[in-house]
Amino acid sequence: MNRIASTILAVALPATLTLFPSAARAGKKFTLTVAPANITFPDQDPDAFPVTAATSTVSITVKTSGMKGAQWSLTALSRGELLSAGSSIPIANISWTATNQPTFTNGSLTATVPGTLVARNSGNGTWSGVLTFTIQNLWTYATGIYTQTTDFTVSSP
Amino acid sequence: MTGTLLCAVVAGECANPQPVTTNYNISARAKLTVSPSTINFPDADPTLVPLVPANENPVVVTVKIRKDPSSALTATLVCQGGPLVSGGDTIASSNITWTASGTGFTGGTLNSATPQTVGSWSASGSYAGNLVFRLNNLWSYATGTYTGSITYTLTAP
Repeated sequence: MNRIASTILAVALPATLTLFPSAARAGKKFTLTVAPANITFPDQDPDAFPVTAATSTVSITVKTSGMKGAQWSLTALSRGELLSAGSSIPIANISWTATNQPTFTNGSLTATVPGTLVARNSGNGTWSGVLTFTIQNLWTYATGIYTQTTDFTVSSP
Repeated sequence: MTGTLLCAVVAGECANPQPVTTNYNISARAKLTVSPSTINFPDADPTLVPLVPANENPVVVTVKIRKDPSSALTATLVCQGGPLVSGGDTIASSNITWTASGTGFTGGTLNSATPQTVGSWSASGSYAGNLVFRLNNLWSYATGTYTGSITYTLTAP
């Protein structure tokens, strides 16, 4: 019985030790605000509007603390293509332009990990940018009600 | 082993993803251009030229459609017109024929009573075709200056 108890302790101990570095990193804190939670592209004549702008822009604010000079990055990763019943539009046909460059950058959506870089900086602070989304407005699109979700994530190595 | 795995998981830190949903509703749309808008058949010896081509050949037809994704629902271009009329004399519509090139376009014979298919398409897109018009050049035609019109109608489901 004593041998068994001793073996269990030996296995559990390393796991307990590794949690200390994790607790130390908990000092890094991010607050990410993205609004609105929905954007809509209007249905427009592809000849008159070869590129269609979303009806609203997206405002993003990143707040960091406890960074000790560490770099952070904000990425956008879509969960797939724009989908309607039986039809799809490549998510890469959606792109954005950003204010507050070079912290924020222009880019196009992707469903491929790790996503597209939206912003990058380092240290503690608050950074805000506005993204204006556009989509290539092609005649080849089938009629439908398309939707897709994109996740914005702040991370630090 | 357990400790190393835990360390890898916590090595990078990130904020909870903020989702943004994209919406895009696309309705059926159709656009048709036919150029030129007037064609002329020259006067020619019926024996030497039994089938007279129009001076303006080819007539360029551009079809742009956004349609239902179902391939069973086709967009169609039809024409209807004639006869050619000069005072009290007529040349029957059936004496005007066309050949077609271009994806989805088809040749045919003009009919004044029943719309004739000029093209059909199962997918959204932009399609260009060339129509070459010819007139049966018969000795039986009375002299005169004949005119008529052809109406093209494009429908996208």
